[in-house]
Amino acid sequence: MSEFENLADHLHDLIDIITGDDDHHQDTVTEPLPEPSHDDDPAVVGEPAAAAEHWHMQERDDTCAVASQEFILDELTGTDHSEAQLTELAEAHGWYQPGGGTAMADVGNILEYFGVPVQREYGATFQDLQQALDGGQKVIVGVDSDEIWTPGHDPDEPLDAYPGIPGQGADHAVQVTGVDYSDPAHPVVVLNDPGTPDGGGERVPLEAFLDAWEDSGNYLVTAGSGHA
Amino acid sequence: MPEPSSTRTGKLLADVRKMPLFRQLAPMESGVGWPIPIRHRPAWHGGTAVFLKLPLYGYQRADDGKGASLYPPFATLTVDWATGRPMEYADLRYTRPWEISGRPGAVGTFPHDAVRGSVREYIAAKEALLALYDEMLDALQEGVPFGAADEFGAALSRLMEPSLLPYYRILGGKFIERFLGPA
Repeated sequence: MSEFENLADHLHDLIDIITGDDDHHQDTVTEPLPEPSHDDDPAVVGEPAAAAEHWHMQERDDTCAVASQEFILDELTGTDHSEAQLTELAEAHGWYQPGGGTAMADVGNILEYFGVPVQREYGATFQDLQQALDGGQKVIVGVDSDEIWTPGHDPDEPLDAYPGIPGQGADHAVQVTGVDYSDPAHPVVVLNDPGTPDGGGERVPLEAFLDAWEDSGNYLVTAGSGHA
Repeated sequence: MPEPSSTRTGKLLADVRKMPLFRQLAPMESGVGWPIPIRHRPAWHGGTAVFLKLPLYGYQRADDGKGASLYPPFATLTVDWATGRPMEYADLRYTRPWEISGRPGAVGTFPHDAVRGSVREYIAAKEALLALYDEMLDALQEGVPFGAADEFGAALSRLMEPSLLPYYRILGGKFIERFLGPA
């Protein structure tokens, strides 16, 4: 079975569980998804509206990881930090390279510097991600930006119109702020994406998100201690 | 998830992103550049060993959402062609193959004129070049002539990003001069 077929199977299993359709393949998913819970909207996991208030577009081409950490830091501390200040801090510690960006393993270091507990995991599952959100933790993931910004891109479209360079893989960090099950058959992952205008509360179909996330080896950074 | 490459070189380029070394040191925003072959003959084991030096450069989607801005290489990752294992990570701020001071600016954009067409055509052209890399690297390993040198040179010349070429000439002078000619 190819990686794509594995992914497709996994996705179908996930959607079956979400929608209550358990007539096949359920044995491959052992952990049930947490019940969607939110104070304001029972169909939404996480708090995307509150998180979106801390979004802004990244100030430099390669500061997506810095900006994603800043969103979380500002929300958790209630203090507004500047991206420039955090970029300077990260560069001084070797966590950010101008003209390059941030290594995956260094995502979260800024938060830890300010005393926020961070866990990092490769090969995480969507259940892991959703459970973190449901527990009140903050989440950053690595994604292939092309697949977030142009899911289902037509390969016959001009290369000029392609956002980035085809085939380069996971190249972008975003904050995941929620999962919206308002349409249970078509769940949507909500992001604070610093790399695109109007990226605060950006909505991405679950299938596209899973494709984009897989390119990072399903890298998951969770921050904060969650609900008290 | 992009369609996986059917070539050994293409698979190796994809696999480097999964290396713990890459995840620890290389910015995730890195572009993995065209391999620069290196041969040791004799190698430490007395036979021939072939390595690929991979330039890592910065790139970011253009502000209008079309194409990308390209930044100079900031590191190279060298891997063993036979095993795929990393042999060296070189931060160019340390090795200083050219003057690096302050924050580098964008040096060009992707795509360049020679590759304009559809996304499908670009991916096919890249796959064809990577297949030629397979042939060349096997020839280097076996110590036999590479029969598709002209075809390889033409393909590399078309796909090489012109704005990054000056850096490739410094990082892999003999290889670039052999296939793309002198500066």
